[in-house]
Amino acid sequence: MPFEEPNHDPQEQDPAAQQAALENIKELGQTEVPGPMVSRIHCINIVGQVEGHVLLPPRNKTTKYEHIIPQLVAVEQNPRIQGVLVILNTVGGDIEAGLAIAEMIKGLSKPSVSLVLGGGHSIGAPIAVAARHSFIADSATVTVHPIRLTGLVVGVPQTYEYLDKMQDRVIRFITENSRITPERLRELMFRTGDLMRDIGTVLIGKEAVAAGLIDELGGLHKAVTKLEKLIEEQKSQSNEPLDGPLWQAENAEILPVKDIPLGSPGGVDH
Amino acid sequence: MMWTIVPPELVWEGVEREPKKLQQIQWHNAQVLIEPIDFGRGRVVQVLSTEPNDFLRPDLAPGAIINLGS
Repeated sequence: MPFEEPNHDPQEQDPAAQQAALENIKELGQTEVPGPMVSRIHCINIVGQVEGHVLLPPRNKTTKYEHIIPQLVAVEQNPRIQGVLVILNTVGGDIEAGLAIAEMIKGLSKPSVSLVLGGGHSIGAPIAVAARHSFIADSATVTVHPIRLTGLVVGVPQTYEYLDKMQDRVIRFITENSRITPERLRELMFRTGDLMRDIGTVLIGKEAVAAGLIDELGGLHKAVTKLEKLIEEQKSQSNEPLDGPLWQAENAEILPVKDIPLGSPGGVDH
Repeated sequence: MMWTIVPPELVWEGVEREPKKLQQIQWHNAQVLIEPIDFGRGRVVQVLSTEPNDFLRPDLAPGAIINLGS
């Protein structure tokens, strides 16, 4: 879409266009912008703090779940979007907002690939593993550490049992969606000596892969190539078009409707 | 409840200060977060889109001025 400065008369079109081009060079380092095209891969960025129930002070750069969740719904619903690339560079944040985003990514019927750049710390880890395939850049890190009460507690004071339960939720999500075992993850979370004033582990690039947390080491090209491959695989596997109305669980056994015994697990029970 | 590597005192620094007033608008098929400058004009703060091509649009570049009347 061309940039148009309003209220200038037609003779000034050219200088205005030149100005716009100059500004493009200054702002974006480029002079031409592709026309309206629709990418079949859409991209979701999780940056800064994952912001949940509480609005964080303005000094924090945040990703708000009320922005991300409708975007994921749109990705699922829009037939032109065939896959989603989740790019993470986050320091963590609200647990429930993070888990909500992670569950949304996991629940997509369309292929998803995540790429950790810079950092995917704390609650970033479940979001990274929620995608069907996860990548981490060589220089990127994932920090895992225990959940604890932080300065400001909202609502009722939490007990240690509650903290433990929250931790279990996160550990369960991560281990169900990656190759790491709960024992190993707990060990990494409570390890001493890695962080100066704290317990926990910083996993750099291939260490995160070796631990089984992240699937593969790679950058943007690898992530996009993998996503394209997953899209093609999904297309060839199902007779339904990718944008079809039916969502089908992976490896689900397909029975004709009349063969589904009533009241059996998986049957709809109202 | 937070799980983050950032120390709580840094996360909550300035919590009592009034947050910057930002406005979310729909601008030529994209959701944009703008900082109102004066009547009908705003500066682009963030593009809330999943379409990668939206991020190449010069009218949505960070800091670009959006004239709501145009």
